[in-house]
Amino acid sequence: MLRTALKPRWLALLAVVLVAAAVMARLGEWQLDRARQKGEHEREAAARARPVMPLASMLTPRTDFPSADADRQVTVSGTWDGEQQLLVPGRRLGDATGLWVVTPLRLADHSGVPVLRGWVPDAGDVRADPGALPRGEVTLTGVLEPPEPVDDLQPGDAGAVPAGQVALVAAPLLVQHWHFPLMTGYVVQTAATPAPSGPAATLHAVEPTGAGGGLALQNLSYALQWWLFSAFGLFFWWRVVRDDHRGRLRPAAAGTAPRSPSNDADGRPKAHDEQRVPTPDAGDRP
Amino acid sequence: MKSALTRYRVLAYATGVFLLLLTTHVLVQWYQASSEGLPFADAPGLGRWIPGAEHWVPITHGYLYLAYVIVSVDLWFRTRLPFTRMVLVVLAGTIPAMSFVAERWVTARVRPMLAAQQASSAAPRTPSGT
Repeated sequence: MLRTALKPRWLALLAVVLVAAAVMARLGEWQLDRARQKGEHEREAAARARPVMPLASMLTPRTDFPSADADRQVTVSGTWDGEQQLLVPGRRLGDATGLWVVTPLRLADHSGVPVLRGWVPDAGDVRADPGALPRGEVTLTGVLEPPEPVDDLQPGDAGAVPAGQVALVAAPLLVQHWHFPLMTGYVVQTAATPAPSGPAATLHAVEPTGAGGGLALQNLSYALQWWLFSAFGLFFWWRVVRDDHRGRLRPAAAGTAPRSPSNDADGRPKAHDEQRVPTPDAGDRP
Repeated sequence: MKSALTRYRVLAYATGVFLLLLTTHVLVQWYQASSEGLPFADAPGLGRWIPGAEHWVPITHGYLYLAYVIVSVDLWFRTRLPFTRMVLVVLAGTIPAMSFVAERWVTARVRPMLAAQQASSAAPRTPSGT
């Protein structure tokens, strides 16, 4: 069997089949990616389409994040606690790496919610200055996001950041800086009234990243189909080789010159050893 | 070989019907997109009249075509029709209405083989040929 499989024509066919299988596997991956993207997009769009709700109606301090409410639009009123603002390093905006500006908004019951106000290119950027934040009651609208997963942290990461910074927007890390009842999850600010004045008004907003999750069934299906095609190609090669091994295909020497891989499966039989069928005429099509 | 032919014919028709449905769906989508100013991906196509059609028509066609390829190749293993023709038969499943043509062609070729097979099982084996 191995010696049959190592015949040049079957090796050539194997090469073709492997290339096709690799391409199809890649296409499957691409569809899986599309399934994730579209699923995420659909889930996010559905979440955004739901009515804007007061934050307090879906989230209270020290409770688990309600994952069904991820990416929903929320409003929340409170006062900025600018003194306790933190920066989150290593965050991208377009092609640049900078820091997120996360400021707690204190609610009437003294609890707080982390608000992602924007992005700055470096820690000293004046636009992040919490001194410019308005005193007194502010009302925010924004998008509610689940806490960032702390599992992503490498050991030591959490302590490796400079003072005034935090590695992730996640309650387990934030509570080490903020000593008040804290909401899990955070709000990506889209608007604030009153808005900060001065340079702080030009702080770069951050696009909500989306909570992830959701798979579009259609693309998932396409992905699976590509992989099945890919596997079938390999099976096909194995069948052809096995048939050759069992002598059901005519040896290549009996025909003309070696055939190209695309039709080398000896497609023009003149006689069949077992089935004794009339030779199909290869020439005409209806 | 007979049941392989039947399997092939059933799937040739099923794939053909679903490919026509899919083509109609895409044409309707295209029409809706241009006449109603929608992005193409948001046009409901047949989904406007048949709930969920925009999902199950393409998905079903995908699996049917996969099965069509498998039974076509299976039939080829049994009949050894010209290989390049079998490639065309497989590709015909991707061109609207062509799987019906392919089905006619395949059936016309395989039926005589079936007849010969039956004749040979009745009579002692003789060298084949017409």
